Amino acid sequence: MNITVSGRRWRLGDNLDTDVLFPGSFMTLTGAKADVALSGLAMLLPEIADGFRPGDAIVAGSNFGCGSSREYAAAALKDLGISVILARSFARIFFRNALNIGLPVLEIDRVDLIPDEGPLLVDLTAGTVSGADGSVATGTVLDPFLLDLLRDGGLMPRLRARMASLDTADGRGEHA
Amino acid sequence: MPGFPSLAERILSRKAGRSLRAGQVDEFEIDLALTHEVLGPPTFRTFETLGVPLWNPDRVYVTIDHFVPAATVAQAENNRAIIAAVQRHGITHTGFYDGPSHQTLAESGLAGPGDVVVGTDSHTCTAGALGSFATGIGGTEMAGVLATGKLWLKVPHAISVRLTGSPPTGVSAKDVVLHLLRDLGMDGATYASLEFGGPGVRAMPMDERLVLANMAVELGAKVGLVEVDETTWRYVGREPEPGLDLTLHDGTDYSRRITVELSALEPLCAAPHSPANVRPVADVAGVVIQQAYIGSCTGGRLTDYRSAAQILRHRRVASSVRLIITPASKVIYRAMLAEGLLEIFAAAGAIVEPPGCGPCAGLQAGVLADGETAITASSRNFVGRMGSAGASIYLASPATVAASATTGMITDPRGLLAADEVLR
Ligand code: SF4
Repeated sequence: MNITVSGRRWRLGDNLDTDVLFPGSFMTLTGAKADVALSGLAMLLPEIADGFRPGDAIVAGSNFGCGSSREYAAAALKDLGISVILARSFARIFFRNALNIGLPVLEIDRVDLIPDEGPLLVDLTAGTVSGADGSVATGTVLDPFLLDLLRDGGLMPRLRARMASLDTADGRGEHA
Repeated sequence: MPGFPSLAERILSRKAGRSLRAGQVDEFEIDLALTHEVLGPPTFRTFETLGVPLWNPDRVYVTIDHFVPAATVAQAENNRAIIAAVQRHGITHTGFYDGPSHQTLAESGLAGPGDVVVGTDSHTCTAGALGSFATGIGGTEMAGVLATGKLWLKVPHAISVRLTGSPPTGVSAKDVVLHLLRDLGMDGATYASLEFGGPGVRAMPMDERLVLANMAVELGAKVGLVEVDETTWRYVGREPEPGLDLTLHDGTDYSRRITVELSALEPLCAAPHSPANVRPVADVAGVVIQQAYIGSCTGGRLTDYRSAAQILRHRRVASSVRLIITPASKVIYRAMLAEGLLEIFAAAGAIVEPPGCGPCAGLQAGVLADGETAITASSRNFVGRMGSAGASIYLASPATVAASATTGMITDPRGLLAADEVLR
């Protein structure tokens, strides 16, 4: 599974929390909103407010997405059009949420090796990030199970497929 | 030869019916799934797109605890939506307006030793104090659980935390967790099972054990498990299960072993804007505050209020401070009434709110203005957590919060407690 990042890389530090990405006061029925996450990120990186383009990537330190379980945080970043999040490590609930909604994430210990200029090739199967300058940063390869989940586009498409095959298998077209 | 299995390995192996070790992935049957009015409505909407019946309406626990009572029309709509979802699916276990789900779940007897519990809330790990493998998940994943009753989990590696000795006056479980945050940082236990045990734990009442498990997520842990003993079985109202040994074992290959000598601890607090920005209360004493909060699934239990009442008994809240008290359940609220604690807080000039999350997540009465400073017994002090992004939040024990409320500035509770000792 390859992702090409031609846009900008936005660099963040350690322990970016979900309260910044999606403050509690937005968590009512209206659902995820990309601009909520963008304004949260702008508290740390003011240039991102006007500079962000879909396809850009986030390059962060350790424990990205710590704090609350709110899936809104991951969903808002996906809505924004972030192509991939490369971080030294992820908070575990955020990590699961991202994969479950089909937002690619990769743990890269040496995020400092990732160049800011030129296109990047992120090979999720190999767990590598290659720069146009020849640099290669190696990360933790996702479990095959999780790669499949990303390939399916997340948990819901996968469950729908599973339910559909059950329907066919039991021949009734509905679930008892 | 691999070591004796960790608590997490023992619980998950028993559930899977085969021996599992750290790093292995398997699918597990869920004993209890928790959701609430904030993240529940989108979860049910996602689940309903699958067009299948709920896997087991008796294994789902749904609460209304954050928006209590609703402060905006949008919040009221969420509350209405979750009640409708509960009715639509015939869900039998609910905790509407009873207090933060993690406390009411603990009181309900629905979770106990050896169970696998998941919830759409990061503090679901609180049930680890009951010996449950309990962890937070997102809404999409919960939609899958509602449909199938199953979830994949990777067996975590384990870190042991042994508590020895007994804490000095003015020090409680909250200080223990802050001490760990200072040592390990916010990602010190990422993906791990944090396993608490030792004589210091066994001497703790359930109220204090729940604090240890609750804040395991602040250290990045997947679960915070507390050794199971008679206190646990009695609290959950179950007969001890023969053969289910959930005590720490010397022969376990822990990825890290930590020992905390409780008698050596002092009151600690986490300064803005990270739970790991920990220092002795004495070092920040004198910081002027406008709000003090004793409540939440971290700091709103009977033991917390007893320690706060000890300080507030003969004192008044400073006129420059609002002290907000939000009991973590109706059970606790009634016990406070019966013990005379509410009388003490009322006489001291505190604001008592109904059981719920209160101002913990900046969703309810008690939000902070730009430039204000609060000290709180809750678990998080991220930027903007309790209102304005321009506010400052200090995390501390209920005793430290109570002491600070009386003086109007951050105050080490030991000085006041010692003064009381002299007067007695
Ligand atoms: S009390 Fe605070 S931390 Fe606990 S569930 Fe409520 S909002 Fe979350």
